[in-house]
Amino acid sequence: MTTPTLKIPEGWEGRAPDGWDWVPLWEAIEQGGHIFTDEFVRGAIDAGINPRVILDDGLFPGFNLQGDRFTEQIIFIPEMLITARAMKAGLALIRPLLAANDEKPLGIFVMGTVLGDMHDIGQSIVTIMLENAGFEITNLGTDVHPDRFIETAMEQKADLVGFSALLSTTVYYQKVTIEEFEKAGHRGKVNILIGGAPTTQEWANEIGADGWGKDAIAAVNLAKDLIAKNREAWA
Amino acid sequence: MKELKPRDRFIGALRHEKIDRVPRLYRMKREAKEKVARVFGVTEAETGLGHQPELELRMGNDAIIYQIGVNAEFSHREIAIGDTWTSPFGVGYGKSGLMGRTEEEHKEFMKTQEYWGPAKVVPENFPNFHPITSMEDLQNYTWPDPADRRLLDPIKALCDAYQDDYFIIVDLSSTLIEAAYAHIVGTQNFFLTLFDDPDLIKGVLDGLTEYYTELGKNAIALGVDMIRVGDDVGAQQAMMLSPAQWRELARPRFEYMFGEFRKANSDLFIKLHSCGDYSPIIPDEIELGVDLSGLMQPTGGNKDQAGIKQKYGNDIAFIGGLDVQNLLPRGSVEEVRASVFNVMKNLAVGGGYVFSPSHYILADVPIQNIWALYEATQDYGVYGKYPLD
Repeated sequence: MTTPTLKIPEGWEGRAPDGWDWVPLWEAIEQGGHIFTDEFVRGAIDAGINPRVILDDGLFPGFNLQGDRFTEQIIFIPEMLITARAMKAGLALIRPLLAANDEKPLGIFVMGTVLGDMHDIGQSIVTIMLENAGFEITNLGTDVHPDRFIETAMEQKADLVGFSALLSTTVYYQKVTIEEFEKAGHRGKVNILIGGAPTTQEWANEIGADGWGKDAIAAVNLAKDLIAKNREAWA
Repeated sequence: MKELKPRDRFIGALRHEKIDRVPRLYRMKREAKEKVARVFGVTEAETGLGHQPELELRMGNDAIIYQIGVNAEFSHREIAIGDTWTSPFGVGYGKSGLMGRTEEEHKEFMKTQEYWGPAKVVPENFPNFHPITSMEDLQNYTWPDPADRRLLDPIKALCDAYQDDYFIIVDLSSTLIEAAYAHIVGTQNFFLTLFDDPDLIKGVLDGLTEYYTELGKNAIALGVDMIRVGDDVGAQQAMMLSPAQWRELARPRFEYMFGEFRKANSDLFIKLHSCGDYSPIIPDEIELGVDLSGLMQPTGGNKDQAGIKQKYGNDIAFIGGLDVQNLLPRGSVEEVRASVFNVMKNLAVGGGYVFSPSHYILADVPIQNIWALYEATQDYGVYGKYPLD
């Protein structure tokens, strides 16, 4: 086990006004201070700092630190959730500015829990983590029919689709939903990720998913890898 | 060794004594129970608060387990698609909707469920309204009656009918952290409120502790042998909350509860259950005087059954350990047999073990795998015979 440390962005001083200090924001994200984060990020925007710099130098260091700690089981769901909430507060201010600067999201992601299954805590954590990492997400919620996944993927021209299932009785619908994408002729246009307690890499292989994430951090890394893969284009 | 009475066998396992065979405790959800009932020709196979134990006894159970508490109120109940049912705890429950299907279409769909293979989808009941989300809610909240005869009378009837031969367990599930997050407060809200308004969470946990302590004492007064406390704090890969936070929130409340239980009956056995990986708190369970720990989910983060047995097996008995996530629903008969063999070898050698799948047998388990379980526990669960020689 390695002890995660805060990775200070190299040369950050050169990208901020004289005397600027990111440390309070790094700590606020780490400790889940969403109100402080909101105020601090407003201050950074007012100070004229580039929104991409606020994101990379200000918001990500504390978030990545907690992500690493979560993977190493040093922190757990409650701590990860408050950090994600703080990150989200900062991103809400930054995202419109990034869009105005013509910055594209990392990818378009459609997420949901499969038909027959009402569990959502796991997939909502993954959704927050993906959003924070720069993906644009449509979360369809729980008990999602395969047709809705397909319709939404078409509308959004999705790069990635994620199926969550928490019950051994509903993981079957991950398989069915992949089959429905095939029948509709859209399987080659999306990367399909699966997750949820009873799922495994073997199950992902068996049903022809493109990837399986053992936890929220693994899912984000996987999504980033898959986005680089060549796919058929949406019409 | 001469054949023991089931209750003596169960108690022997809890006390790490030499016994004739590994005791068993199967639990089944309605759909699985109906399937097995057809094989055994048993017609009395009710689940939930109307639980009839005959079928499980035919499967070789040495104990009878009767569930009361938050989970018992909702999990076996018939709720129509689209309806919300409100429990005595004020929690609302609906059914996963099989989106876009009507009740009639759903019934047609159910007819296509395969008897011999994995069932496709069985709608489950899920909480859709949580009664306490603010201090004001908590102040206005009335806990249910812990002396409710509706819950206690069936326990007395089971004791009267079966206790001469069988070990009687009352299951108070879910009891504390799980009851709070999954039912009373809502999961995401629970975890955020831990930081935003910790007194609210502590108030909810105090209320649950009081309620279940009284309910448990009322069950103990009826003469039950064991109280099972069910509190899921394990996720698939790790604990949901840190062991330190569990020690702050759960441990002192269990300490109080178990102390009250033992004041009521010093011979009472206590079982603490969590799904997922709860291995970091097994030493705490031992310090709390827990007799039986389970259900040893073998998938995800907590795979080293033999290591856990070796480390803690002298100080606490274990139950469970057979994979219900992948093996039982989708494994072959040969794989089920091999897995029963391994679980016995890992956990049953030297005693202090009760065989059980790592949770209920659900609707998706094909009948041939349930039968394989039934046979394999007879083949591999006898002390003095391979692999327990």
